[in-house]
Amino acid sequence: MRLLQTKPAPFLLAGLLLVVGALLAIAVGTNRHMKVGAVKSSKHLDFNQDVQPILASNCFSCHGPDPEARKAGLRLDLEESAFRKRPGKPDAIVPGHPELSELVKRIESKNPHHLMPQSPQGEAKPMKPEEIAVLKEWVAEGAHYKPHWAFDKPIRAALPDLQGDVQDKDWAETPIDRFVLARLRKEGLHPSPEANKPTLIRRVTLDLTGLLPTPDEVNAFVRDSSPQAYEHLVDRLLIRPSFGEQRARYWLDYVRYADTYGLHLDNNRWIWPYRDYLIRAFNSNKPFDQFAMEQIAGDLLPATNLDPIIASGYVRSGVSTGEGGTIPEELRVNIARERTEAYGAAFMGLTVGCAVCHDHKYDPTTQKDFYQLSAFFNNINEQPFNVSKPDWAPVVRIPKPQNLEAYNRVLAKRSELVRQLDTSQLQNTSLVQHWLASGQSPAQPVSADKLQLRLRLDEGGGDVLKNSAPRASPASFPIGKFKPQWGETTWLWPDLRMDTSTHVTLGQIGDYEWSQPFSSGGWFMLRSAPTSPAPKVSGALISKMDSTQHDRGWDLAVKKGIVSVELIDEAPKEEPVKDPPKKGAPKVKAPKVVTPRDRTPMRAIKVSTAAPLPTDGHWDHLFFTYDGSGRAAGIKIYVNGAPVVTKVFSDTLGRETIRTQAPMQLGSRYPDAQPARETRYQDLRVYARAMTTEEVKRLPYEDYVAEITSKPTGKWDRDQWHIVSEFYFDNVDASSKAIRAQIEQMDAELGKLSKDGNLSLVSQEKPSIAYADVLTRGVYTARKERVEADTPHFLPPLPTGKPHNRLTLAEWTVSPENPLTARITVNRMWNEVFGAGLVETTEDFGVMGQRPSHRELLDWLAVEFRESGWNMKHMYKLMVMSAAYRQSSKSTPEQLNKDPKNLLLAHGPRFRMDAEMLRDIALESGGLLVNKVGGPSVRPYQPENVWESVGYPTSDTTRYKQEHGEALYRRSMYTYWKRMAIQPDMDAFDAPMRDTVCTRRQRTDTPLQALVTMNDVQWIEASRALAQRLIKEGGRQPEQRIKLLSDILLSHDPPPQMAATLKTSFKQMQQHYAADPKAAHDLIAVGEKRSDSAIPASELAAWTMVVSEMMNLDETLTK
Amino acid sequence: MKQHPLCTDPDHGPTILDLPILEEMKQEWATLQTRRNFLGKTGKVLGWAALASLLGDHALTGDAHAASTMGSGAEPLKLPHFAPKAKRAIYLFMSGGPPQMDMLDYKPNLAKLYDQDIPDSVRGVQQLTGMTAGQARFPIAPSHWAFKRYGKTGTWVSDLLPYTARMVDDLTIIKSTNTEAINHEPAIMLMNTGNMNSGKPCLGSWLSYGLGSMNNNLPTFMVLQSKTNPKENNQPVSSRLWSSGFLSSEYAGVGLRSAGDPVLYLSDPNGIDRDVRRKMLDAVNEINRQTYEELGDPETNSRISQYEMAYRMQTSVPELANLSREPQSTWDLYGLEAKEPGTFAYNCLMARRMAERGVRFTQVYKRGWDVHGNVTGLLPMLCQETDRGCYALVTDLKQRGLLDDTLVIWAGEFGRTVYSQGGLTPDNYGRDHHPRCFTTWMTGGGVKPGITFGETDDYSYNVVKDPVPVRDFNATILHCLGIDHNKLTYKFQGLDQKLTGTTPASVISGLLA
Repeated sequence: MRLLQTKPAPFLLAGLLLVVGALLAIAVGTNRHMKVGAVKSSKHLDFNQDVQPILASNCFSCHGPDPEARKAGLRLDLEESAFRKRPGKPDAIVPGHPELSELVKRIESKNPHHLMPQSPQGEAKPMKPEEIAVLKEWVAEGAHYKPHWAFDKPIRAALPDLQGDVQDKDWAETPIDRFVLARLRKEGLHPSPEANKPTLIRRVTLDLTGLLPTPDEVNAFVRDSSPQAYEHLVDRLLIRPSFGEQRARYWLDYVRYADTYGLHLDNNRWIWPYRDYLIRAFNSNKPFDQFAMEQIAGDLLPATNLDPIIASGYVRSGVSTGEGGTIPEELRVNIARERTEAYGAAFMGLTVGCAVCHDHKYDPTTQKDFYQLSAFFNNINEQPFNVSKPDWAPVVRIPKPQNLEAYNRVLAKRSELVRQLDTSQLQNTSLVQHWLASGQSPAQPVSADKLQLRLRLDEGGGDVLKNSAPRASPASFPIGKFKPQWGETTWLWPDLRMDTSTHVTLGQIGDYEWSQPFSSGGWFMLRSAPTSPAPKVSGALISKMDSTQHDRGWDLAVKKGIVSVELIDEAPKEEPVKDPPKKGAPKVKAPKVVTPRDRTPMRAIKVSTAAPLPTDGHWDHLFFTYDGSGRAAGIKIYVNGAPVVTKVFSDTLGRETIRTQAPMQLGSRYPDAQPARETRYQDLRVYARAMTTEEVKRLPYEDYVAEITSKPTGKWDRDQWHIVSEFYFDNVDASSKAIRAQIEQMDAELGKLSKDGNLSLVSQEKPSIAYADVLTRGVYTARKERVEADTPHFLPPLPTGKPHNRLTLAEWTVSPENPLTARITVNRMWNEVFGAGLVETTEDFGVMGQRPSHRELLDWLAVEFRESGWNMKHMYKLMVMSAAYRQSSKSTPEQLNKDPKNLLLAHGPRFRMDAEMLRDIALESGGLLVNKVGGPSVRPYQPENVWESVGYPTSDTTRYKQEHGEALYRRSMYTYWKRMAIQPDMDAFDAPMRDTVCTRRQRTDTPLQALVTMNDVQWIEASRALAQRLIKEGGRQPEQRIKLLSDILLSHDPPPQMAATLKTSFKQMQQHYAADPKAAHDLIAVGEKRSDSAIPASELAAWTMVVSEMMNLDETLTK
Repeated sequence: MKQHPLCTDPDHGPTILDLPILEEMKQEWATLQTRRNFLGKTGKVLGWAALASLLGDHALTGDAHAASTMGSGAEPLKLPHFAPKAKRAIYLFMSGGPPQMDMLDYKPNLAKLYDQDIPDSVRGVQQLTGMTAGQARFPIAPSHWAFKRYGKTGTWVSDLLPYTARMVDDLTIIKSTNTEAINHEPAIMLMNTGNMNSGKPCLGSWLSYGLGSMNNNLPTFMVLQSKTNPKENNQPVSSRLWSSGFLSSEYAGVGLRSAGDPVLYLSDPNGIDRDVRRKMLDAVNEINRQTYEELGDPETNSRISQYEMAYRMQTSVPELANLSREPQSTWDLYGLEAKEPGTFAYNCLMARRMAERGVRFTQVYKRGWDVHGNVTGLLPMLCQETDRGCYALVTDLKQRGLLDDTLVIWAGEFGRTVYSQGGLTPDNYGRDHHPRCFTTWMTGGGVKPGITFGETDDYSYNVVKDPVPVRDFNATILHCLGIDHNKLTYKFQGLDQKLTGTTPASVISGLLA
């Protein structure tokens, strides 16, 4: 018996296969929404094709990759865990033995409590009999696992041998067709003959340019009887500027491009130059690997022109906000997440976002994988909130044409310098080691003499701060019950921020007399939070001051970017600062804690920096020294180690005391005050001596470096290596310093050359290491583990020795080892042209995605794409040259019945065009379309009250200001894209909001669409323009005009029935409008373009209606 | 394409019988087909015109099991899972976050605590919005308005809501609604779609998908924006709130607008009258039918039916919006303001008219509740704009016998803080966003009238009894409409997605009738 089951006798096997084959026919069909019966002839089931989808949809949510959701310790997605012994539990799968396998018993159980699968609520959801049959057969065959197909590198399959296919043997002209035909044959289907030439030229012109062929082009093509006629046509289309527009139009969906930020105010932003970059890239046939790299990391690529830099706007083209209540850290996490999901969807074809909260339930993407990937996008030099401005830094300015050449020259030189710098820094390990070994003491620590307080703030958690000054007393400070926020950003190490009500009281440290020299300061990231207009932080950073004693004491404070040091015996009387009263806001009550300051004169020193710090939200080292002279001249302020020019506001302290019993505070002036908002701290120090300029210069970096270099390099972590090498290149390495100086010079020059140019949002990498925190359940405050940027573990690793940044990610994305990029890209091209991808779920190549309808064809195309040098035009040409593409789209009941979605391509593609194409051809047909490539987005007609009814009153996109003239007739891809209210005519035709990546649009058919094409002013105006054209160019007879109309919109002469219907309709309309001149005048007055007054109104109106009928035909709306 | 039992022509694949239309229409069509054969070729034209008028006759069937009339994509599920109490719902959404302690969550003890800081023990450790996070103090602002008891239930209601006060015995007031989001955009998304990030279908889309249409000439799910008052702080709303997310876009909400066309692009352009439109459509249909015969693409047939639906909507929507036949009693009830398109009162009246005409789900947005400052100036305006409309709608539905199977929901996206944002004076104060508790109400089909559910602490700051998180709130709404929230799912990205998300949610049985 046993023997029989492992190796069944031939006759038994044959019988079994028959049954399974029949069942499979149904099962497979169900899985693919395809009623195609795949009659199994091979001996074994294919795990990927047949088994995994069943396991995935029925079992993986509880027995898959996510350990948190896993039940009974059973994991079925991996071979080793599926066969693993579970203590005290029966074996889930015994290969070859369905009857011993618990899995089989459970799916067939009659006991509802045992029956699997079950819903999360414990309800049994039995599998379909055919699914059960497949799983049993699979176990019987030995339960062979295979890695998920899409994670294996594509291999170019041999072209199917079609010998013996007498019926269709001449049909297959290209490699694509061989695969398509082989598949059709397997299903007992036959391909269709080639479409007639008019259909073909209309189809291919629409696909390649998004526009219609002219009747002349159709005629010329029909007349051209040469065998190369079609290929020549394709070649001509591929070099039209409209080709790039059409391709870019799809790409805008893939990269969620829009003209507004998408949240809250939904304000305007400048990124349209990126849209124009896309058009240029497609038109110049930029190799896809370069195209992808420029978008992912163009800012890190050497540039000889602005294109790669503009391209890097891709990363930043997602939604963001500037809402006043925004919590910056939450937003920062959300933005990195959004970018990661966008990259996953567009460049990996995976739903990585599912792993935000937990390991992916189906794909092997772990939560850690997700956050490692997100780290690549977590290191952009930007504020998380956009302050509702269109120029959310970093941005680039595009020079005016006259400066372009000079600009590019400087840019090229700059790139060369950056390359030199990068090259030398890549060898940093050896350079730094050489330096360390050289014996010149690499870095001197700053003397810890009289260092009384040093809060490194590297605890990274908890509520006790350690004083790491030598012989510190006290050695630690407990924080009250309001905890600080740890580790939101990393500077030296994960930082500290004080949340509302957090207090750090430092006791009597810093209780100095006026005659005592002392110094204090540290690293600060001043206020990173949105408000509008953004006031800079105001408040004390370090303070020992007594509010009950007229502010006696001292502090280091900052107000609107001005850094001040105060030594006070008695404070000067200051007018309380009043915010200008807000309209409608309650009167602001005077603050409760008021110190009467009616006595003058006061006795104090106040010294401030002359210029404000350049920006908020950046780390700055702020420090001051005081020499004990009792004079303002005795105070020096340093920013990032360098002394800065100061102004004296008060110099009346003299020899009065500044001593006070009030405890010293971190981040607030008084013990009962709120801490400075959204301000972050690192390494605070107080010295009871006046530091020298030389010492302060070394504080921001050299001191740390000395600390690190005192340890053997083998013990350094990544951060420490980073600090040391940054220091080395900034301060030691002469050539780096020289190069940096040159780069700065060039940046200034570039700034001058691009003054007043158009802006575009771009990416810019921070110099720090790219990190992210794994967040428990995705909650932004629940940091679990800090991870460095890396690619998912189940895909090829990053090359060793390369920095883990976006550039390396970009290179990895298009490396030959990457199994996904080429596949998902050719699949999207296929989807654009054929209306459905070879993998229908263009956005999901994971375990739950659809299986490819033609796996070998997909892989063949992927390899071809890569080996062609990532030649995009070549791929489009391959597709449109195929016989599969060129087939007639007429379908037979048999085809419809077996393959309703036409995934197997037994006939040519036929589907309703996208929103933009529809409007474009309407404009084009009547000659209204303005063929101008690129430029700022335009605002054509829009019904009233679309923006107004939803917008925020103070948004800059609350009111739709329609433009006039040319702007009304540009291609639809240039229409202004407001995320919170997209153009309603495009919305009706399934254009996405572009909040998220969309790699395939829905294609619905609704009454709202009919209302657009029947009633929208744009369609009526276009109909009238075309009517005018018919009257002028079409001849005198209605038949002639109807012929021209059909030639223009459908590219063929009207069939007799259609012509008859239209003619009858024309007669009716003519009668109607002749009898009602007012209606005629009204109709032809629709739209801003004046109608031709030489044409009688009733005639023009009648023809306008006939054209409108034609424009509303299924055939017109369909490609 | 499935073979319909009535299909007379099995060799020709899908026919009109496969369209998503009512069974009896298919029957009639089959009869027409026979006549067509009898009449010969010209009969086809007549046939299509006849079909059009035929479809028009089924305008007000109100049949819960009628098929979708809004497109050809994924078929709706044709639920319910069990006998529903409510067939339709009207959701009055108070965008911005109404201050619960000034309206329905009466806290008499606060008066004594004027200007005292809210105790740390109450406030706890909580991330505040960027707006009050830097505030030096958190002084308690007691409500400026007096509360009185109303109805048999003796429910406390603020003087701001004299009309709501009259219907308290019909209301199911929930004081313990709470959310996880503290800023508008994520909070409003969470309320509407069960998720803070965009991309998920909203409640209305789930209902359209799950239950399908009840009528043949109006959309299943309609959205109305109320006029904004420029004095108020009008947080934006966006189409993602009525988006169908990953469901087919035919389930997205259709806006009924107060300016311009009531539905976008609804009106025939100048110079095109109904007769011209009909003639035009007849010609289009005729040619489309030829196209179908030629190419056999079922999409072509679907297009024909969508054009007919559009044509019907061109009549039915203006009829819906035409208030000239409303009797005087309507204006007595809703007030004259209801005559002005776009006012909240007008939208409430529209909601009733839609309920009568078989619209499954109507959502009315009223913005402006974001009272960060000047509560005493703004809140009376907001209440005055909305109070009577709510009352009129509920009363009107009740009088017409519609309240029994209509669920009315009143909610914002979060509540507001008891402490003042900005300065506090005896006359005025501001209130920041507050996610930990807010007050909502429901009434009508499925919910228990005259109860107050859940309790908050003395500061209206924390829920102390019977919390109702957003997911439970939504699960309960679905339940009233006959839907098990765990079963109304759609496979997307490999997951059985649902309105109530992944955290287990429960129907709050204490709210149910």
